[in-house]
Amino acid sequence: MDCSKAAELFSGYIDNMLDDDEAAMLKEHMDTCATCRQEYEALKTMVDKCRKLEETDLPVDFERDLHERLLSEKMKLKRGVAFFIKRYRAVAAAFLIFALSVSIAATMGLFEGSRNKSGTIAESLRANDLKSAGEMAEESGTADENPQTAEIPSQKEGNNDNKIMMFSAPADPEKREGANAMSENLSYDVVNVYISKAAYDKCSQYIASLIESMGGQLISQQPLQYTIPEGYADEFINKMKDDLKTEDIVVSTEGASEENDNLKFEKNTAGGGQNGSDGREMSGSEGKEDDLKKPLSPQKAAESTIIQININQ
Amino acid sequence: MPKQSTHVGGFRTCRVINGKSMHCEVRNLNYPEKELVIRSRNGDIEAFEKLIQSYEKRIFNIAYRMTGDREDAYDIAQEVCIKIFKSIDKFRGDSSFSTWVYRITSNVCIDEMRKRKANVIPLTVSVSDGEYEIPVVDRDKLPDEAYESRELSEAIRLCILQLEPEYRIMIVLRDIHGYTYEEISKMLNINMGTVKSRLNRARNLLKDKLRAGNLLSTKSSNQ
Repeated sequence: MDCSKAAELFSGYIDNMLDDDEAAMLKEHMDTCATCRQEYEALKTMVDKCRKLEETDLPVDFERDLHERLLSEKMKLKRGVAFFIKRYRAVAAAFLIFALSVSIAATMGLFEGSRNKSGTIAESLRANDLKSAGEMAEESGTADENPQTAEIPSQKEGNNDNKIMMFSAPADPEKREGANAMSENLSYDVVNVYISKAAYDKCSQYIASLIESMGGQLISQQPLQYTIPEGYADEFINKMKDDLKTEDIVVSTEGASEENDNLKFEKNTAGGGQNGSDGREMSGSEGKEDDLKKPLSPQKAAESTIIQININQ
Repeated sequence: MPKQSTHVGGFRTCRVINGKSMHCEVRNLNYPEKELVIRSRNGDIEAFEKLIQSYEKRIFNIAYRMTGDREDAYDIAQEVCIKIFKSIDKFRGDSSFSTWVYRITSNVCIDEMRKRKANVIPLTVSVSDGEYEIPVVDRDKLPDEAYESRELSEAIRLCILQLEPEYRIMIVLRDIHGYTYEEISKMLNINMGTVKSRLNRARNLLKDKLRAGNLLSTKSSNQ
């Protein structure tokens, strides 16, 4: 073994990392080579000295500072997540609304054709106990005081594509049978018709004739109210939907009758239109009592549905 | 005298006798540590502090030997701990947790040294007549043998700082902290052959620097 080869093995020899043959050859060389022996001894002294270097203590504030930094990092992480959510919130919301819309549409059968659609809507809404028009108005923040000035929801929402938003019974006879079967257990207190003035000017005669054909009658001019025999509400709604397709009309039904229906109805009729169908005080001029037929008896009133025409000026 | 080095966390026990590793055992995560790792992944700071507590001193010391400055070592050690906290979800237990911790420590230190390459730390001693003067030790207050020992220790500490980072880390991990070749291989992600050659090179460079200051005896010992 020459000295250069020996020098390459010093480090491994110190660490006992040489195989037996290499170690023996190196030892043999150093026994005869004073220079290599000195080099080895110098290197080993240095390594031994390194191993005796003592560890220094951790600074006293280290853990406290680390704790604060960890808290800071955690907050950054949270802010990062919050930022991500904030940044993509609009996209997420749009997706959620889309998914919800598709889900609702699928539930209501909107993908099955227009005629089936309304029937399914009616069933769905009945099953879910649709909110009354009054409640709708309250939610929209309008017409709390005067239902007559209530905006048509479709207009308010800028949805001009739907000329008629009919929360109605099905126009399809087969579907209607189902709806009527369902309505055996339900009776509408009030059917609210929200209609623009322009639309009403065009179809007021039709509405009056339709109601009259059903045996209904005008009971109030202000608010404009008719009454029709109970059980004709669905037919009224469907006729409105089918025949007035080009008009801005929203028809909304109120929930099932309650125990005080008679009282409410009598109040509406006997009060000369001072109160709305939901009992709230009405504004505006008094109705033309002369044009009204005689108030219904409580018994007959209990068997009737009020059709309230809300004209949006 | 045999030197027993019990690794931080109790997961590695390495017995070094007369500078030679006689037995070294590395175990993977035990239950408490595994639980702490899982909790740390979920952002549990308390769990992470318990987990890292037994490694902090070693991290700081590796950084200190790499930088030669306590404040720099403090900053680097803090950075290492934060980096471990932020990336603990990447630890899969393929190696021991300690190996993973010191791999990050080594990488951060080497990166930092490279950033400062233009500012290689010079020896803080002045050169007079070809000899290094070590001003940090008062010779009058120490016996000759102790002085020489302190002198050499201090010279080694300073000369290590003159090595390139990749050689510096070899001296720090192997000769100062006593890790095995295999552990160093995993920590630095280099093969065993590279560990051997790089360590040999690092030691010879360090020896040459010490000898240049007449701080390393060339006398042959009785063997």
